[in-house]
Amino acid sequence: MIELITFNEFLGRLAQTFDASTIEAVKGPTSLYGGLILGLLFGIVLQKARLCKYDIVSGLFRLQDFTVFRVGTPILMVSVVLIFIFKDTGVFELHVPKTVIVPQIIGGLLFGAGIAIMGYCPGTAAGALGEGSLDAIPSILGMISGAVLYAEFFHDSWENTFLKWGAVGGKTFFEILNINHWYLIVLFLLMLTMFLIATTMFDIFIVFLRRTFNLFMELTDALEEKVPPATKPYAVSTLETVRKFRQNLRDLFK
Amino acid sequence: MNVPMQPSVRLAMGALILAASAVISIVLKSGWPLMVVLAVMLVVRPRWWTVLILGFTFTVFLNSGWPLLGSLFFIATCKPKRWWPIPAGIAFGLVEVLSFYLSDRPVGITRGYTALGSMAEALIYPDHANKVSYWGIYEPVIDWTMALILGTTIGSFLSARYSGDFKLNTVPYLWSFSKGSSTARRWIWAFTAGVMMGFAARIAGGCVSGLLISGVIQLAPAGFIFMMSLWVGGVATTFLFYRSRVIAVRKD
Repeated sequence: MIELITFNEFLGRLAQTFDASTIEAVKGPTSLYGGLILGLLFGIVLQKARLCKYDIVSGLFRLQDFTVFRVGTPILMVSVVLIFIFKDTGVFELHVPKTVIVPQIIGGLLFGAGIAIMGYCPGTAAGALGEGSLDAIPSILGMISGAVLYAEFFHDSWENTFLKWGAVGGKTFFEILNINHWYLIVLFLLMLTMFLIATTMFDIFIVFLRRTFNLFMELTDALEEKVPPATKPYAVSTLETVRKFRQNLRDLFK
Repeated sequence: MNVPMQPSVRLAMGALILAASAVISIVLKSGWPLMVVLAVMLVVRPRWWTVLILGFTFTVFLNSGWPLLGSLFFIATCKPKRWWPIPAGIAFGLVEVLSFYLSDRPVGITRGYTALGSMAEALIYPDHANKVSYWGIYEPVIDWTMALILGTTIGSFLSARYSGDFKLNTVPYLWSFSKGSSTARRWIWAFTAGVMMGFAARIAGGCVSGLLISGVIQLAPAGFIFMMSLWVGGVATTFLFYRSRVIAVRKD
């Protein structure tokens, strides 16, 4: 049955449809639906930022593709500001991870070694599986077995040795230094802005090297304008190189 | 699979399957068969209208407007294969903040893998799993983090399929350039590196999303320490592991 309703009635029903109680239903740290929704958004963002690709993440550690830095810096800038605004207005509280200096340095070194070989971190391995990269399957199985290995054989014997060295506890920098956190945030934002500019300049430099000397493979394609394929292979005369060098310099600073 | 079919035949088959699933749904008085068929339709033929139909069905099914809004948003933004890095980073940051607001915890993935390991051990060898003290922290129950992992996979799949970026491959391009195109070699190395990474994540107490990003955005020393050591370890290992093949030189 189709019934005619007034506009006010329609607005009322619309407000009922987008009711705040539907958000309340998925709120909380144990809600599975909340996790699923966040995961969907997380996966979409990871895929669109191309962080699920081996080529991009490995290109970062090979020092020839800084897409990860250019994605990562805005993440930190946006969320550090928003989180502290919401914390000050009392919308939510912080959940500070515990700092233990020595195991985090050791763990970070090992973790970096893992990323360098595997090319995925735990979140992007799940994303890469969704994207069709089947080598994420042994990666995920490996991560699960690594956790089991640690729990079975190492946790009990290491618990009271170096896993406690340099324990600071769940403190933040502004609690340790005992100053207002906005000073630190402004400083942090300035640092990140400079870092972003430096990374972008380095990217331009790499594009320049690639276009002039055929030095790197094209990983950061399509961000620049479409580069015509190299007509002459690899070995070019010195005069030609000098000509291209000057041409590219002119293009860059046009 | 590659049988050429007339468009009209394909359309008729699709309509038939849809009608059959609708009839089954009505008979069973449950919406799930229709939902499954619509989801399969979205995967097989990722067009804007299939996304819209699925969103609309979820809106009716759950009696809430959010799925329709989400599908409209998906249609509007997810068609390009990639976003520019800075807008993508801003969206990522908004997801992080949303996680604090919605679920009252930062996004963290490795906890889910650890709990999966705990669950596997509890299934295979329950008597022994009860004695391991570490599984007291990571109990073998399905919780938020596993839903997060599942959601990440599904979201990435939908996004890749909708933009036409989905491609099954077993060896990444740059790896095949540096280490050869052997699938077994890549998979064994990936497994080894995975073991290393899971182990390291347990020592440090988190992964890139759970410790690095969430630590840095709350200005905790943990995130900064982990970030620096990860970077140093990654670059050093890359240069040791790939040796002379680190920089991929174009030789066309």
